[in-house]
Amino acid sequence: MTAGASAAAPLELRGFSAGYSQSEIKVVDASFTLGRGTLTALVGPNGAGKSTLLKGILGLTPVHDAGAVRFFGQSLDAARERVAYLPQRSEIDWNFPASALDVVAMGLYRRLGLFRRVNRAARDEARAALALVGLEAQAAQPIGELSGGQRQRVLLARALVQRADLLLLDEPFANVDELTERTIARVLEDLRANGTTILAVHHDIGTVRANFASAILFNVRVLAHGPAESTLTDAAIVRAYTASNAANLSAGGAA
Amino acid sequence: MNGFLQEFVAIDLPALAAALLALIACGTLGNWLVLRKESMTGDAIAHAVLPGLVAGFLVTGTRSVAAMFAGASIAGVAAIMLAGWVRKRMRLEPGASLGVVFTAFFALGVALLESQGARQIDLDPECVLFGSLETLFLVSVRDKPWYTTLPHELWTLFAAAVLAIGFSVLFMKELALLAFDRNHARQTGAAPRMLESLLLAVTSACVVASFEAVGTILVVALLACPALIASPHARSVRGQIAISLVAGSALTVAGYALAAFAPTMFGAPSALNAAGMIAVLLAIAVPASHMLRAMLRGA
Repeated sequence: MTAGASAAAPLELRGFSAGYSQSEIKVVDASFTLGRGTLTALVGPNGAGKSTLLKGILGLTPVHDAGAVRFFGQSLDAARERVAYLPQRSEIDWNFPASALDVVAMGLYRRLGLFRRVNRAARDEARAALALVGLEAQAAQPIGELSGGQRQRVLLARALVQRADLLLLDEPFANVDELTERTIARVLEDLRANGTTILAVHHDIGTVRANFASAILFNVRVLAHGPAESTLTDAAIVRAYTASNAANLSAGGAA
Repeated sequence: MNGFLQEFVAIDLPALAAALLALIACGTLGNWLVLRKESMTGDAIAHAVLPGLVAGFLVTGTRSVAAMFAGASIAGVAAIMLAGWVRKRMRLEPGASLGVVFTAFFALGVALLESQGARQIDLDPECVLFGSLETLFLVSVRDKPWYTTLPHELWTLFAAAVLAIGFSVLFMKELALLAFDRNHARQTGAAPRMLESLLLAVTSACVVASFEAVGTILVVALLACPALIASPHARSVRGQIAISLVAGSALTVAGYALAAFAPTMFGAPSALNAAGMIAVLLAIAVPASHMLRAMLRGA
C-alpha cells in the first residue's frame, strides 16, 4: 500500500496501551517495529506487563488499543492467519483429556474449518510438528503425563503447525529442562532464518544474549529496543528493574 | 409374569425412558461445563429458570409446555444478561456474579410458587424439586398407535437429547478448543464468536425441557455428576462424553430400580422417589470414581 519498509513490517506498535480495565492499564504508550526474520526477547521484571503486552497486541485483554497495532500493515482480523501465539504453560489445564497430538492438531482447526473432523492429513501434519520438537514418540500420550519441558514443546509444535509468519511467545524457556531449551532455541533459530518474525517474553536476563539477537527492555513502557548486546547493558537493566515501582505508579496500576 | 411385564411397560418404562433422555440431554452438555470449569453454571441455570416456569403457570393458568418453556427461556436469558451486567458494573468475578443473580432469581421463583395464584393451580414445590417421573404412564388406547399416547414430556425430552447430542457433535472440536485454551480459540478465530452464548442457550433449553419430568435436583446432578465421574478416566473429549453417558445410564437404571422395587422387597409400603434416588447414586459415584482411579494408578 504505502511506500517504505515499515508499512509491511510484521509487527508495528504506535503508542499502544493495554490492560485489564481502564483503571488497571499495564502497558503504556508502547511503540516499536519488528522487522522480518528477527528474533527479539521481551525482557523486564515480574509484573512489568510483558504478558499483558503480548495478549493486548492479540486483542485478548479487556482493554487494548487495536488501532495502534499493525500486522504486516494490516489489522489483526485481516492478518489473523499469519500470527501465532504461545501462552504461558501455567495458563493451560494439563488435566484436560487430550493427547499431545490432539493439542498440536488444535493449531489446524482454523484451516480445517467448522464441521470438519481432524483428518489423516491434519494428523500427519501435527505428527511432523511433534517430530520437529523431538516428541514423535509421545504423540499418543495424554498431556497430563508429559513433563513440563515436553508440555512446552507440545505448545510450540501447536504454534508451528499454524505456519505463521509472526510468532508471539510467552515465556517459552520458563522452567524447562536443558534438552527442551536447546530444542526450542534450535527451532526458533531455524524459523527466524526462514523469515519468521519472533517476539518472546524472556524472564532470565542471563540467557537472553545466548538465544536472542535483539531485545526490548520493558517495564510498563518500552525502555530500550535494539541489539541484545547493546540494549541490555548493566546500567539499563538496573534502571528497568528498579524503575518498576515508579513506572507502575505513574501508570496508575499495581505491580 | 405377563402382568408384571405389562405393568413394567406401562408404568416403569416411560419413567425410565424420561430419566435416560434427561441424562443424555443434560449429561452430554454437562461435559462441556465441567471441561470449562463452569459446573456451577449448570447449577445456576437450573435455579434461574424457576421464576420463569412459575410465571408461565400463573399467566396461562395451565401446566402447558409452551408457556413453561417461554417463561423459563425468558428468565434464563434475563438472568444471564443480568449476571453479565453485574459482573461488568460491580467488577465481580464471573462465579460471584452468577451466584448473586441466580440466587435472587431462585428466591423470586420460590416466592411466586408460594403465592396464592400458584397454590390455586396446584403447582407443587415438591414437583419442582423432584419432578414427576412417577406420573408418567403409558396409556394404551385401542385402535391408536402407541406413539400417539406417549406422555408429552417424553417428546420434549427426546427433542432435548437430540439437540444436546447434535450440538456437541457438530461443534465438538471448537467446544473442546474453547474449553482447553480459550485465548487460542479467540486468537486464531477457530471458534465462532457466538459459540459460547449458543452453548449457554442450548444448555438452558435442555435444563428447561428436563425440569418438568425430573425436577431441579436431578437436573443439577445430571449436569455435573456424569462428567465428573468420567473425567478421571477419560483420555479424549470424545471418550469423556462416552464414559459419562455409559456410567450415567447405568446409574440411572440402577437408581430407578432401587427406588421402584427395593422398598417393596423389604416390605415398605410404597416406592421411593426415583429422581431423588438417581441423584443420590450419581453423587456417590463421583468420589467413588476418583477413588477407583487412584487405586488403578497405585496398582
